[in-house]
Amino acid sequence: MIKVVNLNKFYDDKHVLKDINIEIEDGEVVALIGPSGSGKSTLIKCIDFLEEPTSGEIYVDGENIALSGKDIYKIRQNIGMVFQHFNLFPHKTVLENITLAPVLTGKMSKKEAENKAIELLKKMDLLDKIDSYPDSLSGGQKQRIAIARSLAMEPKIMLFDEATSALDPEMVGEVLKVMKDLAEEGMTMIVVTHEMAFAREVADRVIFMADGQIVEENTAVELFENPQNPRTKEFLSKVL
Amino acid sequence: MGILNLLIDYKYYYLTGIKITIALSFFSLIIGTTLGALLSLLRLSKFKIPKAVATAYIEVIRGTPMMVQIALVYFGSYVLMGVDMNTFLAALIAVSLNSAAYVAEIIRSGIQSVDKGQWEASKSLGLTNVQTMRYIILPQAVKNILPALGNEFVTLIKETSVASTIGVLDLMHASKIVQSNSYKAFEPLVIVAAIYFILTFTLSKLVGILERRLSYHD
Repeated sequence: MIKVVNLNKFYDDKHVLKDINIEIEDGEVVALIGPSGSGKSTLIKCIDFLEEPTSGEIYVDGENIALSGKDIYKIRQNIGMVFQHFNLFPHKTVLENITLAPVLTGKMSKKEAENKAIELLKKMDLLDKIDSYPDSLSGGQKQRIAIARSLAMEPKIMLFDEATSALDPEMVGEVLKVMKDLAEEGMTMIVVTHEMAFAREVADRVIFMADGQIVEENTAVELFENPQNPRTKEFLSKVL
Repeated sequence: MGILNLLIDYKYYYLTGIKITIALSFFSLIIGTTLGALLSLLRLSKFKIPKAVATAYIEVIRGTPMMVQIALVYFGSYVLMGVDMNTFLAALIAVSLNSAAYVAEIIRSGIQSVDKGQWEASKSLGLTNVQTMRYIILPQAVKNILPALGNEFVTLIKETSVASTIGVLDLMHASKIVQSNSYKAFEPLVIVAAIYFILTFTLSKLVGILERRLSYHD
């Protein structure tokens, strides 16, 4: 599904991603954990080509996205992304937020997109907010709408960039539940998170990153119960 | 009452002046805003040369007086190209080119004021750069810059008075004619100030209505 080969990323002189290699199978849920500034967010933004890698290759469904040129727009349609700060479109209603991309990209007719939006909003238990503007919603509601907006494009993979970090504590649960349901439905997911309990419960595999490198990766149980690298041990001892 | 009599006696001059000032303002506003929007996109583009040209243009226009610009267009067209240009056309070109520079800076700041996350979200959904600009960034930018744009339009109306210096028969020119014909220095100026105020006040009220229309939340 996703294959990252020798990915490097520099910001000027700063080496933020160092020789990253990852392979993610269809239906797999991978949690990316690690201290702030370790390059987790940059990595998943590279996978969506929102950040341009300095060197290395990224394959989505076998296609090298760096060489895709104009087709990057098509590839992105298959990759959903959920952001820390939601990034809903404030000048559009909830319905318009969800239907905008499927209609503009020609994926669905307006009617089809609206039906899809209603179906997703029902699932998120937010159908009553269909005509609201984002500013009138709580953080948890905003993030669930943002997830619905991504799912409306029927992506093959979902990327979550610290989707619960900007939420009030009492709203974290509702968003994590949506993510967990999604994982159980078989969605391929890469989740950058600070929620260790979630990573442990939901992820098939956990990758620990520090200083732009993958330090350790293993099944969730193994990585949390039996970390090998001293850097992983140190990190886990602080956050668990 | 002297002022009322002046207004009645010279109403032909005033009406002509109002028509010309409104026409000059209206067309310069349309042309200037269109050019300004294009300039702002050049200024924000990744391509070095268009960006440098746009930046230089904006700096030169903002750094020189409109009165000089208008004379340069009028006399320059004759000296450089041998064209005996219509004064109204010369004023229209100069005011439009001048306004474009200011509008470009306003639009640029508006586009840059939209959160970077909006670009990321839109692109992550598979929209192209042009679609993102058209449906996500510009609508938010326009809302942010309306007050500044309204301010620029008010300035533009007032600045058209400089056209009288090359002989355009605008409101300011009408006032000068009335001054010399009536031998009164003060009253015609009061009249012309009041008329300019009515024009600009109406415009800023219209912009205010538009602003309220566009405030989607709160």
